[in-house]
Amino acid sequence: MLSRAATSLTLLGRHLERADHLARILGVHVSLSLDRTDEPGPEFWARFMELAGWAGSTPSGRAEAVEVLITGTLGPSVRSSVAAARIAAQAVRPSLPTELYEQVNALHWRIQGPTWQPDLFPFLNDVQQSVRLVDGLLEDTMQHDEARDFVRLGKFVERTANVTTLVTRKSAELTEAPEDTLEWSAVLKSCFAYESYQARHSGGVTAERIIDFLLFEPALPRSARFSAQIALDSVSRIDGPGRRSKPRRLLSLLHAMFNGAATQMVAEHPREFETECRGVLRQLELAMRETYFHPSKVPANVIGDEGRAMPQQQ
Amino acid sequence: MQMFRNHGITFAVYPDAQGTEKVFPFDIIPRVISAQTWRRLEAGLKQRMAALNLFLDDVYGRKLILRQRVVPPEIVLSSQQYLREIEGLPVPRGIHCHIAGIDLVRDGKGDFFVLEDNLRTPSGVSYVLANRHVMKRVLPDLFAGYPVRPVEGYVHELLRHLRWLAPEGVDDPTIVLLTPGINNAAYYEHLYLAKQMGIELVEGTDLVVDLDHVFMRTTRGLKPVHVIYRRLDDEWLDPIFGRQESLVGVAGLVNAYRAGNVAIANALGNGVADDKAVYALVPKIIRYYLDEDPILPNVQTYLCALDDDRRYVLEHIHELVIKAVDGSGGYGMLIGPESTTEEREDFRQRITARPRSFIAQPVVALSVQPIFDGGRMRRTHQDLRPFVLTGPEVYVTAGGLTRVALKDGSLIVNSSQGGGSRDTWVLAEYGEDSQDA
Repeated sequence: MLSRAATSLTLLGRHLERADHLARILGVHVSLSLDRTDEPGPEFWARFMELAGWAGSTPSGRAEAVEVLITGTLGPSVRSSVAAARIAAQAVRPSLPTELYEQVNALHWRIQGPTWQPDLFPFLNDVQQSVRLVDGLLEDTMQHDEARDFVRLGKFVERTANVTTLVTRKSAELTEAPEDTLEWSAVLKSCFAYESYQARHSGGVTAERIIDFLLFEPALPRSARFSAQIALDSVSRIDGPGRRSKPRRLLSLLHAMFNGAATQMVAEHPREFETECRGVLRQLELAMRETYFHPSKVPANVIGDEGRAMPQQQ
Repeated sequence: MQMFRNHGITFAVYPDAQGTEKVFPFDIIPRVISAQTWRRLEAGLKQRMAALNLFLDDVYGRKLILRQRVVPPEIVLSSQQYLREIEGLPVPRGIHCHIAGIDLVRDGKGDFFVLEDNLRTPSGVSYVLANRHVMKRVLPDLFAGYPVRPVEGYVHELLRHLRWLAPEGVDDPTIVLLTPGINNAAYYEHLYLAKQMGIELVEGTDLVVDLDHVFMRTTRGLKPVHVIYRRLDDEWLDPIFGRQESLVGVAGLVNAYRAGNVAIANALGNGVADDKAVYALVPKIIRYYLDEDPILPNVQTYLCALDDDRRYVLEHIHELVIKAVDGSGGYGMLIGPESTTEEREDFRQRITARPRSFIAQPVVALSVQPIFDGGRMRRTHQDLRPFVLTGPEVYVTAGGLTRVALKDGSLIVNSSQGGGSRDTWVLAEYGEDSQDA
């Protein structure tokens, strides 16, 4: 597959996942702010903005935070993520089923207007449902080949990063105190995991269990471990048997971190764990670029060793 | 029209701010060409392409036709499209123009003339295929009554011709279609052809040249490329060779071509043969190389570079069509009878200042055919662009793209100026008694 196509397919997966994640955490946090008896101050929204990738942003209140996260152009927002996904989809139209492209295109145009202002929740719901629809089209109408694997690679690496950030930041901020229970529930809801958590743990919401569930649960599609596993599976298929590329080695490492890490260690040192994960993810980005997106090594059988002999440069 | 939009069969119009993706207007009344008429057209097109290929080989080689002054060397060598850099460069299989689109018009008496040759990157063939696809869906019963020749084979033939160009020793060549990108007017066509042929649609940034070999960047590393069907003009192809600012080209591509490691279709430098001034010389070119009379005549053309012709043009500017030799898409022309005094004066000055840049032709009383427009029928002008592939054999599409002028009374059929198209039916041999439309 062309490197440009692989790049765009990965970006398509990544940006749609980001749009979905932003819509989800925005909805959950707006709902959380409405559940509180006192209107949360700027600090609450500043922390939320940092979580959403807008470090240093200090919105005056809910309305401004909502506006920035939906329409902002200088950082990750719902609109900018969908627009980026659409540009990526345009660049790889030959590799995508027509219906899939049309969905991304239609979503892009639908969220251009100020429709979110009167009805925020239906708007956010529409974004999430549309991403689900694209996911379905990807699974059901697209060949299960390299192109699909690159979309999944982008999507699940993004999800691993998002879940890890969400859980570790909240672990650092929140305590086990009853007043933080609502916030812990919001963390679960941000990952579509509230109901499955309740079904698993009848003993109520505790920090350690939530960390364990969201980071290390192998059967939860929104957990970091599950996401790293899917990304690793995708890279393994892309590489095929016999090729153990750098991205594959790094994803194996990342997956192992969610496989073997002790919940208590994360609960006690969430920032350290986050830093460690981010380091691996950054290396993975570079390795993907070198291996798939900007390859530069000429195959020896084309030019041969003789052709490679170049005059020495000073 | 909805069917076209859903399929994304679109055409970009550059000066139109809203319109990078417009549906190419389609008229449901097909143009019908009898087998007898087509036989003559096909023979004429093959003859013309044979002569033009020999001409290109000669002007970039021994230059016999120029040295013998059969055609004026000053007209040919002063063409902006003449590439001195590739003189003497052998082209794969000795063919310069593999894919051509020849524009034909019909006058009121029913005679066909060649209006223009397109030997660089002719576009429109995907609309031929799309029009037929839509017609078969919309009016299937209509086909039952006529022995219409199919147009489907073009894509297979194109692929076969491209494979044939592979460098020596490459049995299973990698072929790519090089597009300027999604903002190009004909991107839909590039996408369509690449998909249909099952080859990669690449942009300049997908290719890299190392030690005169061309590679594409793939997820499995660099993969050698052997044949490039390029839809980029010469000047944009390689920033080292042509325009330095070209971001859509591939640095070093022309050197890889020169080294014989990659074939490029069409070859470089073809523009000299479809220069509108050289067009006027094509009947002489056919006679010189083939020793035959042209089967398809040209529209009478005055070369402003020649003193006698220029004098005539300046005196009769109000009855002629003036065209810039390097213009295309219906831009940069003056239709004498429809022009204002100021416009004529402007062209008069431009012709006097740069005579080589202009040609003039009488207004051809183009044939007309009804068009179905908003529930009523009206007459409209049309032309025809058949596509000719030159390779292991010469292949001519059965019919071609019939473009129609949609504005009332307009003579301009170019898609970039709001023209539309219709399906073209060439009847098989046993349908000879029918009338041409």
